[in-house]
Amino acid sequence: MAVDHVDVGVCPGEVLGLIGPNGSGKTTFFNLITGIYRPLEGEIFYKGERVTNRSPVEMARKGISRSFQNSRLFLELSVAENVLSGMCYRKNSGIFDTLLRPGRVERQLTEGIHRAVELLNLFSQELGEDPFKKAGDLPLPDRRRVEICRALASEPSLLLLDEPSAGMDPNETAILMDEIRRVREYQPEIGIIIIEHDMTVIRGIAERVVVFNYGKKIAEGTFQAIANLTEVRQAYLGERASS
Amino acid sequence: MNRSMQWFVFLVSELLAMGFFLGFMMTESTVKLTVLVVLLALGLFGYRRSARLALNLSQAFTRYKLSSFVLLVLFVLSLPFFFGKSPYLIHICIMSCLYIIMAIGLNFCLGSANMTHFATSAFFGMGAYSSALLSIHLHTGFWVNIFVASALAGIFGALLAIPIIKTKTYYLALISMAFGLIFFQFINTVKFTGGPAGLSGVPRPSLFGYDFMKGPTVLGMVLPFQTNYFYIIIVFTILISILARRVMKSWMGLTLNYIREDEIATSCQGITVSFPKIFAFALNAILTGFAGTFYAHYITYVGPPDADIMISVVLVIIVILGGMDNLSGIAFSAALLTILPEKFRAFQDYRLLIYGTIVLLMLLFRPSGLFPKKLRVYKKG
Amino acid sequence: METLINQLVNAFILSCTYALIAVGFSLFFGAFNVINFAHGDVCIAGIFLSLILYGLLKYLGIFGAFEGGLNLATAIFGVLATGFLGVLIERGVIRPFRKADILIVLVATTALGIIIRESIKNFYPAGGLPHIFPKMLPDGAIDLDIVLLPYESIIIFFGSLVLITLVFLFINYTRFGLAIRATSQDREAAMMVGMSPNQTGAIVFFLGSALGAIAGIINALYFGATRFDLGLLFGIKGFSVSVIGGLGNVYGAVIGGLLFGFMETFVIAFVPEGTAWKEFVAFFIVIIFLIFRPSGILGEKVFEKV
Repeated sequence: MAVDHVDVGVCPGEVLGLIGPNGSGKTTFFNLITGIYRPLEGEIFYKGERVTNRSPVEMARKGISRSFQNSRLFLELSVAENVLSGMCYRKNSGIFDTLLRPGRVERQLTEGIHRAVELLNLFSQELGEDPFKKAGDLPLPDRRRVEICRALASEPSLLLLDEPSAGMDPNETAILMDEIRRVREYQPEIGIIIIEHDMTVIRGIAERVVVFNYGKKIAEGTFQAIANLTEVRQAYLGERASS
Repeated sequence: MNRSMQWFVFLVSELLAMGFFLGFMMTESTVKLTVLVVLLALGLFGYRRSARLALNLSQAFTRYKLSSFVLLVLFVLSLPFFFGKSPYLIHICIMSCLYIIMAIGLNFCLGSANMTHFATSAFFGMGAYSSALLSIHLHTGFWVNIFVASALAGIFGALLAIPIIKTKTYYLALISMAFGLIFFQFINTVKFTGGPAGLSGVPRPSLFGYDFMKGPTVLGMVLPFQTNYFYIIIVFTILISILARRVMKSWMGLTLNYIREDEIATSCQGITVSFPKIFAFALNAILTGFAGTFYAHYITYVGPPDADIMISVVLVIIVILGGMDNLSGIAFSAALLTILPEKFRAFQDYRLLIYGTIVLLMLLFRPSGLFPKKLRVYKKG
Repeated sequence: METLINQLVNAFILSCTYALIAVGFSLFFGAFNVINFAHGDVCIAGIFLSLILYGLLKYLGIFGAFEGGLNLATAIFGVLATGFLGVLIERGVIRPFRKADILIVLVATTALGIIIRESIKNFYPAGGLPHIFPKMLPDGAIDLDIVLLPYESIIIFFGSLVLITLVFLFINYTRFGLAIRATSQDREAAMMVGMSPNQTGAIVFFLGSALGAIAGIINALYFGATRFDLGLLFGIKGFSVSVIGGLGNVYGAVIGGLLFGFMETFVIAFVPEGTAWKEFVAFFIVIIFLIFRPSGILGEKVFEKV
């Protein structure tokens, strides 16, 4: 059972850290919330509404956005177009406009691109300066940034970040932490759940932490509180480390 | 490069291309044709190798987009004059246009959305046979059929799409091929569609009593009757190209590209995936069905070979060769692969063998095609 | 009653043919996530390779008393030669696409299939015409009271059973079979314990293609004749069978083969003008399967993680 009777909640404006050894069900948990997997049992509530068994498209439109552990950027498209995808569902013009009013469509697209560039500038001037670079040509930390921007483009109320600092060195991680803080400033009401293996990030940003192991929630609390619990130590270090 | 230099470059290259085309079409000798093909290959090779050359050329053509387009249209409209003595050449041009239209249709599925399928032959057959049957049984004419038959093909495509868009990409290839094969078997067997003999007697188009079997007389020269069809299909090809470009530059085109890159990420951005896919399929079917309809009224006969599965395979080859999602590349490759076998008649038997080899080599060494897709350009600031 | 038993025999032989081709497809997909649309044409190539040797021997006048045996020898040659053709294909076409998208391999192998098919048509003497396939198995039949069972059919049937059993044993009990199963689960891990993907690839493609050639030869023996363009339909049907059984699943290929073989025989025997409609029914069933149970009867290999 990848996720076994887990009970997690997050409030607007809060940053929740989600940690646990590999295979403990963290990404599966994200997949459940975003509608990619359907739960066999249990309920998911979002802003008071029962949203169990909704599709990913519905969940995204309700305001849940995410980044992926194995980055899923649109690599052959430009950075700006990647970010633009968050605004796509709101602005679709119909067939009529597409065929007979291309000027209107072009204006909508240009507006969208401008907003995308603004969002990029918030994160990194370089990205904002050259927004039409192919996403696949970017180095890893920039790709992560673009993925986070893309997730923010749809103006979500809940942002899920799946191991955003994976593969980054300490410098890059520090910059990432700053950027996540900037997200909080930009949208104070946003709730963030962040899966991480790098404890510096969790310690630096998360207000509350939930620990998973073997698909179950084994601890919850502030980082200081859970860091010393035996169960948590055991989960990470194995059964013998219980002193 | 300054403006006058760019003007010069664009004019000279376009005139050269047109001269090359005329020369190629009007030569009969295989030797001269081979020389021209080699020149073309060298030209393409040089274009790909030298980034500066490619940049200069594309800049020149972008600056003078309207002029180059107008010049091209004028040239194309004047082709029947050049080919006045050889109706067969005009026929080749008509067939090229049909393949260009079908390739544009297939591109929506294959190039924009990465949905490889082999149902094109079924759509073409659908358009051709529907027109034939409608004309024979309900006495409808060309102008009605192009809407009705294309719409039928489109609905057919959409219905086909609904169950299969949920399947994995490689299953789509299988289902579409199976489908193309059973469509062929169906029309080959059933009496209603004339069985192996097909249906003949499809009426020619009529336009206020203008006789389509007599070519127009211009400047004292009587042009072959194919000219009439040529002008009609040219108008449609241009129209379809313009509309296709609009779709590709719209939200729909962007969505199809998102789907191509990563379906799951696309859904997580709140974009529905099923509708665009069905739309791409329907558009593909409509355009191909239209080509089938035109073909039926042009040849006035439809038969099972018109729904041969190899048509689908050749079109997939054309789109891959031309460069996925690149309209001009695809048009070029469609024309090339239609004209070459006609001019090199001696090698007709080896046509498929050559195509197969070329596409295999392409995929091994240059999978982006002859003209790889370009990133979209947006206005900045 | 006689008709029924005859039809059952027909159905089994057809099933064996389809199962053998489908095993190839499942092996290729299972081990390397490759969909090899050239496989059907490779099977036909096997038939023609035997014919080439047969023609050569006949030309050299080496027949006479050994006719049946020598014919069989040409068949064996065909099978082995096709196996090597498979290895060549793996090295030349499949390996370069190892990291590429599965669809690119599909299109590339479709092109390869066209090359094989058209080469036969253009380079084999009178390639475009149907060719008679020489008899290789003894004539005559067993006379059970109710029905006459030809030796040929019995040999083919039991031969196929033995063959499929051998394939199972090979995959489950030999070192090579282990390499195939390991590589299909995780290529990198298999490499790390010393199972070379190149060697595994060669084995898989040799095996799959050889089995396919056997299927083709059985088909040619059964109908007495063959054509260069049977490959497309063979390939599509074989692929459909392996999909129905569960792509990547060798057991599924066998079950799918049984299903398909029986269904097709049933349609030919009992539906009016069945021969013309058999493909129709076959593909209709495939389409239904792909819509409602795409993972097949026994389940396919899954390899996309989110």
